[in-house]
Amino acid sequence: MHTTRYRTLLRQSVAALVIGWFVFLPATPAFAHGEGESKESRVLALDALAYLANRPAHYVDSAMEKLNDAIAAKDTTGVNMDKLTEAMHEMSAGQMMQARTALQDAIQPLSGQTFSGQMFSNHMANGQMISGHSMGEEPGTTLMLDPLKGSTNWGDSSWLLAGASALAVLAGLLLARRWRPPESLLEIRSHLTGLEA
Amino acid sequence: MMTTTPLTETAVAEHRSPFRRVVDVVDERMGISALRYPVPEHANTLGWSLGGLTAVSLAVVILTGIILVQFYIPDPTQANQSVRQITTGVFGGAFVRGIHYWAAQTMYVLAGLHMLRVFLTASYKKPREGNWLIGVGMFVLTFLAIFTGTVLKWDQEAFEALGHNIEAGKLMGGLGSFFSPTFAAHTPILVRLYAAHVVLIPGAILLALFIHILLIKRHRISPHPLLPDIGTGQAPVDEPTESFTRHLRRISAFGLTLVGVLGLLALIRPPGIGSPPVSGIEITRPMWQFWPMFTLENWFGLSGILWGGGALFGLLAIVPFIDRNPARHPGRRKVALVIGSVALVTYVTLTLLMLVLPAKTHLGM
Repeated sequence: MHTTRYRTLLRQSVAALVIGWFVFLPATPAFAHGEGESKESRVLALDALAYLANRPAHYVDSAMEKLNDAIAAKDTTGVNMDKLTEAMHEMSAGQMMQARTALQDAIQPLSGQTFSGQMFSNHMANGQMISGHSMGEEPGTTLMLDPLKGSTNWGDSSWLLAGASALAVLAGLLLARRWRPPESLLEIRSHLTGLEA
Repeated sequence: MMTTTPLTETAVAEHRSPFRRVVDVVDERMGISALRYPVPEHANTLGWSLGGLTAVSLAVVILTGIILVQFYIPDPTQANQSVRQITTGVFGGAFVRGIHYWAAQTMYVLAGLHMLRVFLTASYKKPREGNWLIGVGMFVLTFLAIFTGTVLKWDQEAFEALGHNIEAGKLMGGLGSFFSPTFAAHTPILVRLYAAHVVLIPGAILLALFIHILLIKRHRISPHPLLPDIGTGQAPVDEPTESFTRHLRRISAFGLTLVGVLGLLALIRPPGIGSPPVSGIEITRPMWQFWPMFTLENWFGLSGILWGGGALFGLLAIVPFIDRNPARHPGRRKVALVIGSVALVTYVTLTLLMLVLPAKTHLGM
C-alpha cells in the first residue's frame, strides 16, 4: 500500500519537474542575429569586409555604415585603426579592392598576435587552447575569402565521369524496363474483376 | 515408354550451381530467404519504389559522406577553407561533394514524393499508422540532416541558418536549451552540429529505416486503391505476386539510373561555397527546403519558423489519426484529398513566395 503511494508520489513529482522545466523556464527574447549590433571594432570591420566580399555593388552603403561604426566603436582591441581609416578613404574614393585589402590588414593581427605584439586572449578548456573567437557560436573568421562557385571547367576526368554517369542512366533504364512487371495495373485490374465476375 | 521419377533431395542439391550453393549456405546461417516474401505486382512500379529510391539516396549520401569526413575540419577557423580544399585540392573531391549535395536534395524530394504517394493511395491506414509515424520521423530527420549539412560548410548562408536555429531555440524555453551555444559554452557549436550530422542523425535514420522495413514486411505492401478492396488492408489474394528480392532488383535498376543522374548533376551543377561567415549581417537566402518557414518568418517574426515547422510536421504526423475513413478508393476519400491538396498548395505557395517577396532583415542588424 505504502509502496503504491510512494510510486504515485514519485511519478507525480517527476511529471511536475518535467512540465516545470518546459513551461516555467522562460523563453528568452530572440533575434535573428543576436541582441543588437556588436560594440567591437573588429567584428564591425569584419561585417564591412563581408559586405564587400559578397556582391559589393549591392552593399556599398551597408559596408560604409559598418566601417563608420567600426571606426567609432569603443572596443578597438586587435584592430589597426590607421588601416581602418585608410579603408574608409579607399571606399569613399570607390576603390573597393583597395578598401578590402586595407580592411583585411586592419584585422589581420587576430590570426596570431595583436598589433602591439601581445598574444590575444585565449580561453582554457579541457586543457587545450581554444581561440576566443571560435567558441560557442562565434564564426571564427579572420580571413575573408570570395564566394567560390562550383567549377564547371571539365577536364579529362570530368568527361570520363560524365560518360560513366550517362552509362549508368542508360543501363538503369534498360534494366528497369527489362525487369518491369509482366502486367500493367489495368491488366491486373481486369484480371481481378474478371475473376470476381 | 519413358517414365520420369522425382529427383531426390540429394540429387537436387547436386544439380545446384556453385552460386546457388553459396547462397544456400549463407541462407542457412543468416536467414536471407526471409527477404523472399511475396510482394503484389502493382508495387513493382516507379511510384511504389519511391521509398526504396529514398533509401538508395541515403546510401549514396552515407558513402560520399564517409569520404568527405576524411578531409573536412570541423573547426570554425578552418571549416570553410577545408570545404574549399575538398573542392579544389582533393582529387575527385568536387565530384564526391557534388554527389553528396545532390543526393541529399534528391533524398528530401524522394521522401516527400514517397509520402505523397502513401497519402494518395491511403497506404497509411490501419494497420500501418505506426509505420507512417516512423516515416514522418525519418522525414524530420532528413530535414535536420540537410540543415546541419548546410551549417557544416560554414559560409555566410550556413551561419545565418545557424543564427535562426539558435534564436528559435531560445523561443522554445527549456525545450530549446540543448540547441543553445551556452549548453556547452567552450565547445564550438559547429563541432556539436558536426557530431549530429555524421553520427546522431544518420544513426537515428538508419534505426528508423530498419524498423520501417521490418514493419513493411510484417504488414505487407498495402493494396492499390484502384484494385478491388477485400477490406483486410491487404492486396487481393488473386493479385499476382513476385518475391521482395525481385522488387529490390527493380529498385536497384531505378537506383542505378538515379546514381547516374546524380553524377551528371554533380558535374553540370556543382555546389559552390560562400564567403567565411561573420556575425551581424543578413544577406543570404536559405536552402529551398526552409523557404516556407522563412516566408512565415518574414510575416510573423522568428516565431513563424517554429509555428511553420511545427504545423508542417505536426499535420503530417496526425494524418492517420484524423482520417479514420476506412475507404481507400480516391472517389470515397474526397474530404481527405481536398484537405491534402489545400495543405500541399499552401506549402508550395509559401515556398514560391520566398522568391517574390522582399526578404526582411531582423532585429539586431
